Amino acid sequence: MQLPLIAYISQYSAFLPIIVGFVLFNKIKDWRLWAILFYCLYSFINDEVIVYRVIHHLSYQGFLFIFTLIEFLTFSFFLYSFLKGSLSKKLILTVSILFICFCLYLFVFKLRKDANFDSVQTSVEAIVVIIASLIYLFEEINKPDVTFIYSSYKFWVVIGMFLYMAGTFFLFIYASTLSAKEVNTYWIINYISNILKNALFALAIVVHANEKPAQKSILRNN
Amino acid sequence: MMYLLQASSAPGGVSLVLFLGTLGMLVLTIGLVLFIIFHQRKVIHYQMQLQRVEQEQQKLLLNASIRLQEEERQRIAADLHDDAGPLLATARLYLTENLVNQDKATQLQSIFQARQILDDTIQLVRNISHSLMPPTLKNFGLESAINDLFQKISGSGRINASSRFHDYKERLKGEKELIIFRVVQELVNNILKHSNSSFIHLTQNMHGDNFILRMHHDGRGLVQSDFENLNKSTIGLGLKNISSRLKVGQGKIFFEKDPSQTYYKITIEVPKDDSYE
Repeated sequence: MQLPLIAYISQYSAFLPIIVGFVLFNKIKDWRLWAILFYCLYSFINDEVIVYRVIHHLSYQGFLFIFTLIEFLTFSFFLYSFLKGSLSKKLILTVSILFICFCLYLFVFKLRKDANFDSVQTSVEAIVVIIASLIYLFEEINKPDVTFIYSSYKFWVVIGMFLYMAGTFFLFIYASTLSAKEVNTYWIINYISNILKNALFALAIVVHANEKPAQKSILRNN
Repeated sequence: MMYLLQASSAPGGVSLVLFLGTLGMLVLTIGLVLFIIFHQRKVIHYQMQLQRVEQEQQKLLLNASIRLQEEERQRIAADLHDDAGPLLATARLYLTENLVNQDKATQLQSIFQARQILDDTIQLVRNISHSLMPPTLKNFGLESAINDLFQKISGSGRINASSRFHDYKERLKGEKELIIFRVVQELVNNILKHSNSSFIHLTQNMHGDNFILRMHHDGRGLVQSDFENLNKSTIGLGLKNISSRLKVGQGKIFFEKDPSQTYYKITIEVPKDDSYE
């Protein structure tokens, strides 16, 4: 199976934050950023496994399911730790638990071996992540201690997730109904969104490495 | 929305919905990010401007307080140089070495004159000292010092001045009493100089933990906006002095016109944190 060049760029763009993370290894003081690097590495490995299984006509739905779950848990964990309001924290915690239950239900009772994409889970995931990102951004603009929002690495992580989820939202909704030819045509949206997400994650690491020590200690206390 | 639903069921409709939906989401996301960034820049810019104005005002207050201190020093220096200096020099003249060679009557006369001059000098030094720290305030408290001040003003016959303290069982801290006394002195001075009023009336009360002084007069006066404008300008040294003193004592001052539009009212509010030590 021959994939377009952009597909490879998208897949290997996962290494961008990883490489930046290793170059700035000593400057990463927030352990949450390691979770990003883990997520990027996992997403690369998952893509490799799925491509391998597609080529060898093996079932890959389980891998898609686990990936969606891990991706959601990573993103919701980030947003949970970034949010300040107790109500929004409780909300995201409750929604996460409900989402896990929902995914498990779909996995046990509704998993179709012939389905080419887990549209329902990814769409719900996108809605939850987009709403939580909006809550985070709303909290940020209402903060009394105003610092430039883009000088915080959290902002770039959230924008990375937000852009990825917003960009692929409609694609993932329709993904299970698209023919193979249509998937090949439209999957470029996913590739571009993925490249942007990884670039923004890499930028977040650079921003964190350049944050002043005082800012870092504040972040650690949060 | 209906158009999109119809389009999705038509051949090639999915691509249109997908294209428009994705484009819409991306435009919304980028728009939102840009809005947040620009909104925040605007807020930060506004806050910095506020901070700058505040710093400028602080600078004005500091300058006013330094100038006032300098004026006070110059006044004391002038008093000592122009009054005490000549007096002591004259006393010295009476007490020269030649005095021993003179007859007893002249000696007694010189000693008497020198003693008179030294008494005058002592009185002068006492007056200077009293102007720095009124003894009534130190020994008997704010109520006595203000009553004393108002009695002196009333005694001049030019204006009717009265004061009444309603709730002053416990004295304030020494520094706070001095701050309030100086502020009242400055206000009374301003009223006498600029207002052309026929009376000044001062009342004292407590409101919770706040020590409240209210002054009424029927002449020309200031309202809060005038006070704030004068405070921001380079003129109005006395008012800046009031502001800086009250800032030290964490107090507030309000200038207003009575609802009847007849009197001007000045309210001084100072937190009563510690009693006199």
